[in-house]
Amino acid sequence: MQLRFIASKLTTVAASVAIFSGVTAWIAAKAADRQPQPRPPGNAIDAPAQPAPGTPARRPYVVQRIAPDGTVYFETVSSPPAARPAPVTRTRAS
Amino acid sequence: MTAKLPALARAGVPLAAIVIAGLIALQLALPSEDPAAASALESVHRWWYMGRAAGFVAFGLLLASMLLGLGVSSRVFDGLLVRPWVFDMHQFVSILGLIAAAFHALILLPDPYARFTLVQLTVPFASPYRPLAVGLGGIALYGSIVVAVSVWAKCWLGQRGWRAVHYAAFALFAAALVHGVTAGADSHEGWAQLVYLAAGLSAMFFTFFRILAARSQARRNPASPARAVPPRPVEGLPHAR
Repeated sequence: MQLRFIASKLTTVAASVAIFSGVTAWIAAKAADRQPQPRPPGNAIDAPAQPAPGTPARRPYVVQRIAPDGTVYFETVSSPPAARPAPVTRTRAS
Repeated sequence: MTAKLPALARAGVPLAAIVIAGLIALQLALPSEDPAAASALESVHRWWYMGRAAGFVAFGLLLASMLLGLGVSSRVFDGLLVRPWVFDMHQFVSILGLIAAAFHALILLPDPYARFTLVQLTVPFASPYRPLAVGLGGIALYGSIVVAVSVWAKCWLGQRGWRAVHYAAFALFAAALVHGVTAGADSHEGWAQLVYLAAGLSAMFFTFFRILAARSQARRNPASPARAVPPRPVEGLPHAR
């Protein structure tokens, strides 16, 4: 009987962990569907990261930056950086 | 001990194992088949996602603990499950629920967006994010700790004191439900509303069953009207109710 008691408790813990993992993955998958896809490297400098759905709104922004050596890192800022204007393509005057 | 698990409980163990194995398999399969989910779990938002999921797990365990406790006192599970097992699981699930609730709060600490401080997460109504709703969750957690500890303090509290503390569990469950509905980021989702509705209705059903069982017992045994369920020595049950 004691063994069955222990087995029931282990089952409860395993079920809780499994449900926690499953719900986390599910919420993440649903959020990923609604989040914009990251821009390709080289075009993503100072691109403001989007907050997760349901995240408190008053929070500072985390921006993704690219260091001169090419490594990507995150930095917390208080206000969203302005969108980087697209480069103007000049045509050669004929 | 001569009590044995009935056939339903014995069948439930492999069924639970199958469900758990399926969930774990789904979890393992999801990142490889869904790169969006994998990238989301690696994102800076993973603390927020884990906090939300842990909240549902903690709420489910709190509900399970409450239903098992009502099952012990109302004997609703008699014939299906042996009472010592129900009582033992009631105590165990209570502690597990408290651990899950503490994890639900503290996992938000490293979240770079929410930027909660330890004080905001541990002191009720100190959170800048929906202070009333989050504060209710804190009160539900601390109150549940008091209720859980009261089992071991029964010799000092006495039967009446212990019972009074245990009655607070109903209010604490209501506080946890309101906390989930008003503070949860998923409350607008249909599945979350279904979870809260099912939890509230099942808690109400078991509570009414408990009241009716107590009245019926008092009618049959008018000599002891104050005692809802007369104590009957049950093997393996340390606290007769």
